[in-house]
Amino acid sequence: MFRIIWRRFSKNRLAVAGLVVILTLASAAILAPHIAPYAPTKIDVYNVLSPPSISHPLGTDELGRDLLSRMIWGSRASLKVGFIAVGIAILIGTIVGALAGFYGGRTDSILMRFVDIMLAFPSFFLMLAIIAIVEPSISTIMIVIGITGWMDVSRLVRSEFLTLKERDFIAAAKVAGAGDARIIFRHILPNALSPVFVAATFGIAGAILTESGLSFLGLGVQPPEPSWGNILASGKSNLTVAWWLSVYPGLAILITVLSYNLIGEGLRDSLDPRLWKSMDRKA
Amino acid sequence: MYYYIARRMLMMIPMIVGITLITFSVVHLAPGDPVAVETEMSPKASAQARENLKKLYGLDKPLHIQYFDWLKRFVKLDFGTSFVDSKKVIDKITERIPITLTINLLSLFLIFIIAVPIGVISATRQYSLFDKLSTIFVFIGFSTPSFWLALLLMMFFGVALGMLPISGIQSLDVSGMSFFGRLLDWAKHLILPVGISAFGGIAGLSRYSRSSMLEVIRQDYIRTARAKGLKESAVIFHHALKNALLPIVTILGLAVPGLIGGSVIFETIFAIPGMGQLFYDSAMARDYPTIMGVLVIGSVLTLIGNFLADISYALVDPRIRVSGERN
Repeated sequence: MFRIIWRRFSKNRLAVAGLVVILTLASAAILAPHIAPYAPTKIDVYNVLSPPSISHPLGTDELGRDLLSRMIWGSRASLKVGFIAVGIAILIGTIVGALAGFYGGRTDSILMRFVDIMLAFPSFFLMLAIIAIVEPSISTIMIVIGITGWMDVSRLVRSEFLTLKERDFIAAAKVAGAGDARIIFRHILPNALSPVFVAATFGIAGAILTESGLSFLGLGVQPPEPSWGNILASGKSNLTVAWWLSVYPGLAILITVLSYNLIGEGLRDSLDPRLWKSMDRKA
Repeated sequence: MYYYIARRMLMMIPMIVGITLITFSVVHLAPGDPVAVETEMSPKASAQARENLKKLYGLDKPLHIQYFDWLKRFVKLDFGTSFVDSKKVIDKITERIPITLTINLLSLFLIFIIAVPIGVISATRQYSLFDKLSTIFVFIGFSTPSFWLALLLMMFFGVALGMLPISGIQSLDVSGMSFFGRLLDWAKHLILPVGISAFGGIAGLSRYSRSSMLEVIRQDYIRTARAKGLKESAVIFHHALKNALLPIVTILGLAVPGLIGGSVIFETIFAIPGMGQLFYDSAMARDYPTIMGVLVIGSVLTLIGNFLADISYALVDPRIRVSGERN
């Protein structure tokens, strides 16, 4: 099964390139203490806002901190937020979607109305409100992005459940005496997971974009802990004097998010082309 | 048709109730309370003073009573007064809405007139150079953080070329200008914010119209049109485009929450005094009444956007309203 998926996936050169980029970034994030040329919070008052040079390949920021080192450490924030936020979204979305699709009737209509209501909130507003009330930090935004981003997953899982529960093998499981929980988790869920994986990959891309936006506004990862978004905030304050602070972190976000999107596209085509024909991404 | 509209409007009521319920819970169940914010600056405030403040906001009552009190006032569009400047929240919002709506409507328009042609051309020439280039553009568009694009364009047009202003919606000397001078000034200020808020949407919608068009082109009635010898342009514009555009209307409606939410980012960057900036400022100041007010109004605007999209869909596609009437 995995071999077939991999064979199809590896034919998509762009998706493989995306995977290589992400693996490189992930190893950079893990090895940050060993490969970053400077400590990310080391202040150097003699080298404030110095342009890219041999000793500081990407330049320094307004406190003389090395931009390359801060970006390497900053990749940890994106990696963490991407995976954990999406993990939370998948968990909630799968539970809601499974319950709605499996039980149908009133459970289904109540849960799906709830999904509709959640979708009506401009999600950025909802996130900002929660962050303002709680306290901005990296764990807050992971949770907030998770609890405002599960609705699409729940719709996907629900529709998978609606078709799968009518199939013969489910009837067979029922006849064999399997309980609801066993049918949901052992028989239906594993068959409903491929679209969830694809949605998760696109979701990571979205979560990284959101994290950087929130950090840029000062509501995400808090300085001095670096993240690509909060480096860009200092880029904005030094817009007229230090282009490197605005250009490089943004490029890093673009390349990372692009890679996840390419992987997502590759996965979608290799997991099951039939399922995804009508599922192009929306505006 | 009227029946369909009425039914669709009735469906909005439970949605609005749900929105108020979630808004209320978010603000009242989260840790930290408004009184703590107000007394934060004066640590000497006695327990008595805190109690008095709580009474003033009705925070000493049970939660459900508070909710219904708030809901009663909400129906009259009374969101209370802001903690920050004691102005009425509804006044603060109504004075900010026009600019945000203008920018959002302009971006929707821009999205539509750019994305649909891109999508249609890509679909009619699938796998051509244009199709490949636009696919690359779509992927980059999906992956670009809009605030970063804003920074780059500000740097390029505002700082390096000095062609465009980079903050606010009018110049300081605007009162001395003629009508056209003012219009030009306004347009110069809006061009970057509108362009940037449209950017992501253009990528999304052009992808969507491409696949919508591809699907239509494969239909039998298009083959019929070709078979009876119509010119290719007539087939595309007259027969295919109309049907391909139908689902796009709904997608435009779905783009509304993204646009409204995105207004926080570009209004903060460009210092535009709209709803997004108001929301950002009140969130930073923990101005609870304003937070709740903007959250509710923002989501109701989204509902209205979706409603309008559904209605126009039903107007152009008779199948929708017929099935709506039968149920």
